[in-house]
Amino acid sequence: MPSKYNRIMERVEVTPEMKERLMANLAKQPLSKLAHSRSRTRRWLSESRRFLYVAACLLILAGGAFVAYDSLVQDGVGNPPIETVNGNEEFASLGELSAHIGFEVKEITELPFVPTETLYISIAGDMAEIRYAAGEQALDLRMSRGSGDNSGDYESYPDIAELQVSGRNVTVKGDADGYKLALWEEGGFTYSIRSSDSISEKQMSDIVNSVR
Amino acid sequence: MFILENYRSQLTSRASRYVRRLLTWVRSLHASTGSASSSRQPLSAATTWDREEANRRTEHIIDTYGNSILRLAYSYIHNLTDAEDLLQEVLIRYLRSAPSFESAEHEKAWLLRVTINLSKNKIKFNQRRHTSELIDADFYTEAESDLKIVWEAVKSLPSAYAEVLHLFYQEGYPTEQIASLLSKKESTVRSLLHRGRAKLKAVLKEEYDFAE
Repeated sequence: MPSKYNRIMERVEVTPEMKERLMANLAKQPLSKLAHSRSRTRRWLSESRRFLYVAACLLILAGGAFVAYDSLVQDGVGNPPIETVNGNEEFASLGELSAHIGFEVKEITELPFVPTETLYISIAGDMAEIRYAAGEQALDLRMSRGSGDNSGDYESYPDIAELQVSGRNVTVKGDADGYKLALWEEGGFTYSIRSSDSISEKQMSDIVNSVR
Repeated sequence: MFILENYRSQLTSRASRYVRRLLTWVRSLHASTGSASSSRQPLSAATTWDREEANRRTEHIIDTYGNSILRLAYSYIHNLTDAEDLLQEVLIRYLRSAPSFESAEHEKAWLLRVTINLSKNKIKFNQRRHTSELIDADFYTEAESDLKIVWEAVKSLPSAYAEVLHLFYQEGYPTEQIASLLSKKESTVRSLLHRGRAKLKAVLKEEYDFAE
């Protein structure tokens, strides 16, 4: 016997009238708007892997040159956050985000709260962000190639400490209430975690430790 | 200092312009060599649909997965009109993307993932859920007040619990597949399922009939 929930859902169905409406609405869509733009892009990506490797090498060289330039113009105040540009894109899953961005995006596996919403975002096509949110509380994990602070957090925090978390050298930043930001580099990638609420050193360490 | 920052920002935009040009060049290079390397031609080989083919595929999706998509959307947004709009949007995404699938199961999973993503976006951008008193009122006779009580209880759950319960009880997915659909760990899904049931049991008492 189906449960009451199944009985409720049985009432939500595509009726012949609804199907007719859907078919009619889609028939109004110009065929040009139904072009497979995204699929073609994906196909192109999979078929052009060899060329992308070459392009990636060139990009790394260009990136290296830029980083070298960047380090020359440091003003001694500290590493400024990496700037991002508009062009964010949201994805349905971690897998889709990883496929889009071109590297395996890591996630936080032990959250201090149960998220009601998890967003997978590509920032400017080269930085991955996973946003875990529950009401006002939120945690953002960012991962991008290279080094430096990619958090986008320009706040000047009075308390800065260095932690060792499972072999990771993590810089945590916060104030008297606790820490809000964690930054580290690993395997050619730079990571940041930003918490909406101040959390303890232990909580921040546990979160960083659960990134995999 | 300002001049230096200004110069740096110009350099960043110039670098991204060069990278875009480089990618365009690689793309054109690859296009000129043709795609002979591709031994399998995916579903999306054509650039636009033939109207008849678009109608045929739309009908196939509505007949095969229409109810699942509609019900999943309804479980998130609690409004039949919005759920129908969302089903239409899923169909448009399907026709635009025209992904190739290994199996019917894979196809359904893709459609449900898109539904989940679009539903969450709709909730986020609406900033509030439309209630559906009038539509719900038509669903239940006076003798079916128990169904209304169950639906109100499910509606009151945070979507992290409700989505797992829906996929488990309505779609019959095992926790492993739900984890894959929602990009969560299986242990997290089990925990959400357990806690979701406990919350419903506490609210519904004798009306509770979700199989453990």
